[in-house]
Amino acid sequence: MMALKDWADGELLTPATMNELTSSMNMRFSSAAARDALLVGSLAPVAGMTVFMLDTNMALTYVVVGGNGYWAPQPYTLCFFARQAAAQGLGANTYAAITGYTVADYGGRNFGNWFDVTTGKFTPKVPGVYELLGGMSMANGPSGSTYAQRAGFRMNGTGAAAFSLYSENRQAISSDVPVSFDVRQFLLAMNGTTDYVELVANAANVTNTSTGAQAPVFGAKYMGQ
Amino acid sequence: MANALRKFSDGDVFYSEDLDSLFAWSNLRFANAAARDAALVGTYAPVTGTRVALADENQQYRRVGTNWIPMPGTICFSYASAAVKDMSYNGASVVLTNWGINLLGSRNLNNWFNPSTGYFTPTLPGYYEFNAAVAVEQPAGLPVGQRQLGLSQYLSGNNTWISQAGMIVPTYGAGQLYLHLIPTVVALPAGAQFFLFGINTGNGSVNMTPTANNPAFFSAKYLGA
Repeated sequence: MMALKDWADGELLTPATMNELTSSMNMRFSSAAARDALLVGSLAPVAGMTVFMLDTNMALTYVVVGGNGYWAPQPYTLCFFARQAAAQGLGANTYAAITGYTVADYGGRNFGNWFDVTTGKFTPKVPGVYELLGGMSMANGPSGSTYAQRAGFRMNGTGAAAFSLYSENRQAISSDVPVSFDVRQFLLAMNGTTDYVELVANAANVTNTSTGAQAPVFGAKYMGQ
Repeated sequence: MANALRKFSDGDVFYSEDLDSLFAWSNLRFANAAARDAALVGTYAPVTGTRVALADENQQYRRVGTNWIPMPGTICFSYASAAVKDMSYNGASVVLTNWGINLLGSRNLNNWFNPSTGYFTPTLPGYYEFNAAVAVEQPAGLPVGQRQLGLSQYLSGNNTWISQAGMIVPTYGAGQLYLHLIPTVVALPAGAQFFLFGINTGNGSVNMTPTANNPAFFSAKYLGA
């Protein structure tokens, strides 16, 4: 790829110059297939190249991480935001992944289908930093009891590579009404291949997660490199 | 808008529309929206994907359909209110009004947020993320019960709770209660909608007020189309 140059009077345009200019432009494509078909040879993607995708109305920038290239969305782009579709039983002390989501209530965004609505696993395919959003809501237990509700984000399951950040909400039960609390938002670097994150929860004296406007929610935003 | 992108090879002839295309897809910069609209006509009329920067706002926009869309992560508004609000209602939501403190100085994107009414009426389709918090004061002797903070959506005159965060008040003593909304992302289709921020109490005739030392907060940011 050529570098930018300071033009002098009388210079001639060449195909290489025109391609250099084209590659620096705000290019737009109808689909990923159309983009990948044109951007080859002298127009092959390089770090910093930006394109606009007409099928998703999203701008993507080419980033190179560890020698591999990726088309990344703009920072702060919503990857997905989902609500649990049906109540789920919860147990005490052992964290369980929240599963069975729908993204339909929030416009259907699920960038690259990185979020598995069935398993509740978010596995982004561009390495970078992601901001996780979560809310937990549970049906109440027996009146008069005191118990702890816990929820958090869990990365890479329960093995040696796991990393978790939990929030806790202690309640003295007074009536059979649902209780909601937010799961701490935080930024997490993910490798773009195998790393995944789940929303997890446990609680004593609670039988189910809540539904409707108080259902658990889970989302993520891409925040850049 | 100028013609589509092309890849140049030796022997190609360049036409004036090739240069038009390159200029049209370059990093367009204007002093303000009026200058932008005056320049982008005829050959350079904006199409979906056109990107411009406005010097008076230090902001970039993308054209999507007939709208100029700000960048993902653009802050729409952030207000606080120390106004006392009578919460003596039985389970009915109370919309917080009179948001007298703009935490961003004069910023209120497109004046979509009406601080007097508490209505947020964005007119651009896309995804919006809301954050809200409120501190309420509970006098001594009030019954144990549920307090809810929620975000409601008014669409075609129907008030629907989008998201609610709740707290059980466990004691009869005086004190302050702090509620904050779980992270909430809303997909807004084309057309006007209101997003309101309300509180309700689920138990008895309770008088709760945002306090001067711990005002309520309400903010939104745009996450892209």
